[in-house]
Amino acid sequence: MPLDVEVERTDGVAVLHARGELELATATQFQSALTELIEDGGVVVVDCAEVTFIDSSALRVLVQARLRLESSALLRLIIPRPSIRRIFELSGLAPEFSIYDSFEDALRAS
Amino acid sequence: MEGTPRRGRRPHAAAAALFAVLAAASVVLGVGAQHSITESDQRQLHTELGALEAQVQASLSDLGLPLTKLAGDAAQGDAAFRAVAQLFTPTPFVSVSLWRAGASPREVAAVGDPPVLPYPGALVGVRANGTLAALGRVGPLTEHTLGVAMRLASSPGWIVYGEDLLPAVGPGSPFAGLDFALYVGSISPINLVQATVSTPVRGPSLLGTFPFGTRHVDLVLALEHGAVGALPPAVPWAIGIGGVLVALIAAFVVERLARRREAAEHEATTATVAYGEQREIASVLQHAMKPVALPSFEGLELATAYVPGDGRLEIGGDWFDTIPLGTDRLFVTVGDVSGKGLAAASTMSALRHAIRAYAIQGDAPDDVLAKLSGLVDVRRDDHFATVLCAIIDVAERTVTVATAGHPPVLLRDRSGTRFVEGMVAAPVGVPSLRRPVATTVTVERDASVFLYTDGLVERRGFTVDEGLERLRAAIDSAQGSLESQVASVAAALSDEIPDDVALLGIHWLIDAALVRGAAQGEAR
Repeated sequence: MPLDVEVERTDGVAVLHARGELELATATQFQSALTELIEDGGVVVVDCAEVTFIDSSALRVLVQARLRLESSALLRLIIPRPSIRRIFELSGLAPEFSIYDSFEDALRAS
Repeated sequence: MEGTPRRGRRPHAAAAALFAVLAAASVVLGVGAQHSITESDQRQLHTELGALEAQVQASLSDLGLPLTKLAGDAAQGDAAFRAVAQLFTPTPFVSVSLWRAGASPREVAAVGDPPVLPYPGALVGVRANGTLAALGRVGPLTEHTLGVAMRLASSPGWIVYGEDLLPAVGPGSPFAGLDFALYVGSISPINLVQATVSTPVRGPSLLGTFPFGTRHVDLVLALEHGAVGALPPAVPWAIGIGGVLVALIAAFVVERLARRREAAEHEATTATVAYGEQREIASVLQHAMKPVALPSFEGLELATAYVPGDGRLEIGGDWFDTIPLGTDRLFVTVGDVSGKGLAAASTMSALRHAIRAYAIQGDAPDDVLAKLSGLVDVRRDDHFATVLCAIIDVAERTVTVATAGHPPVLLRDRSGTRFVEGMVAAPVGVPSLRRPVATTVTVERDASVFLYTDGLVERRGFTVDEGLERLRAAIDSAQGSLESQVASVAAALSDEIPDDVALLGIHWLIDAALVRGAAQGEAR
């Protein structure tokens, strides 16, 4: 299943909406979109609400993006699905990210 | 000839880089190990046998891969054989030869010293099953040379025979000061391969046994004569030298892979042929990364199941390993390097060696994980690794487990099967402020723990919790011996998986104390 990536910019916040499967075959596409936003600076929100599967290749892309930023507050992940959030917990990566249930929560956080 | 290395050509950057990385990692680890050996004599004594065992095991584990390669290429002719065999002499082999299998095997080509053979007709019984045949000592005991042979099911007409010089035991050698006897096979004069003490060993002794090819190795370590403290200086050397050797072999295989690919493209060989050859080399490299053999461990029963993936041309990054720490404790580890290919495979190799080194030094599972963080950095290396380390204490009946992003171990006892939950640190290679924390649980008599590679629970169509529950339920309902339990669980869960998966079961024997007592009595 292909990955659909859509970028939206509002008030200094860049939002990357990802839909589909974040995995080996789509990691390069995901990485280039995310890297561009990171390089622009400011807060980047990755909306994973429509992500149905995530593997270690995609986790690596997110980790590398996170490590390029000084603070975890600059990269915010929206992960409402328990099954996707569970992958972050089991892999020990959940505490390394700022993870929110909804877009509103992600923006509200300062 | 297409498959023959072209001598005189410069090696590929990938092969050179792989060698450099692995060799550098080994040297760094060796030096690191040298600095951190400060454990008490008492502790050294306790871990000495395990360390010696691991050292011998590591040295012997380097023998299978070259012979497997040579046996697979045997049909390409004796010139090709000589060209490749030269790379494996004088180390690890002083002599490598190619033989035509049959009622009286005939020598076709030899590199290095002329082959001696442990006894006339030693090659007659070598079976075509791809298992390293441990034939026994070659020449007098003072030469401590071991004869081994390989015959593949895929080319049963050929036998590759090698003679391996075991590390010297004189002053200044890594083994200096240790009083031990090494037998390939049971403890009997005809099976003695190397000894630094008069045999049979008298007085208090420890016995270590581990499988080696078609047979097993028995190590008898004498406790007297100031053996304490003699081993630690050997460990860094063993890690350093062994690691460089492995690096060389890995680099060689990578080089061959690169050259074959080039040759295949250059000569416009059909895609099918190229694929088959690359797959073969990939599987050789992967084979080298698989655990050598399970150690036999008094008081514990061990069993493993390994299921290869669906045959895509990719070298995976999964591994697991078992490292005896003396006679009381077993260090076990399972991990997965994110990503595929040779870079992931080389990181896996470096991590495996590092874990082995730290474990032998006596580091706790959480300390091992903390120390590994310096070896991989996702920002530099483009991958990270999920790693789980545990120490199984036979007599205390405890499991101490620490994990860096790897899913938890399963514990099965009379009340059911459950996960051993605890703190999960970030994967190795992801810099984090949270240090790994170990969890220790005491198990009932007759309990079992199970470690698994994450391919067994992570796949499309299931959430990870569903995958974990499927595994838990499969283990909970598995019947029969431990071996049939792990086999049935792996078979049930490994349908249509892209990844290789492995499952390791460890079962405390009910009468562990009795078994141990009896075995120690024998060793004396």
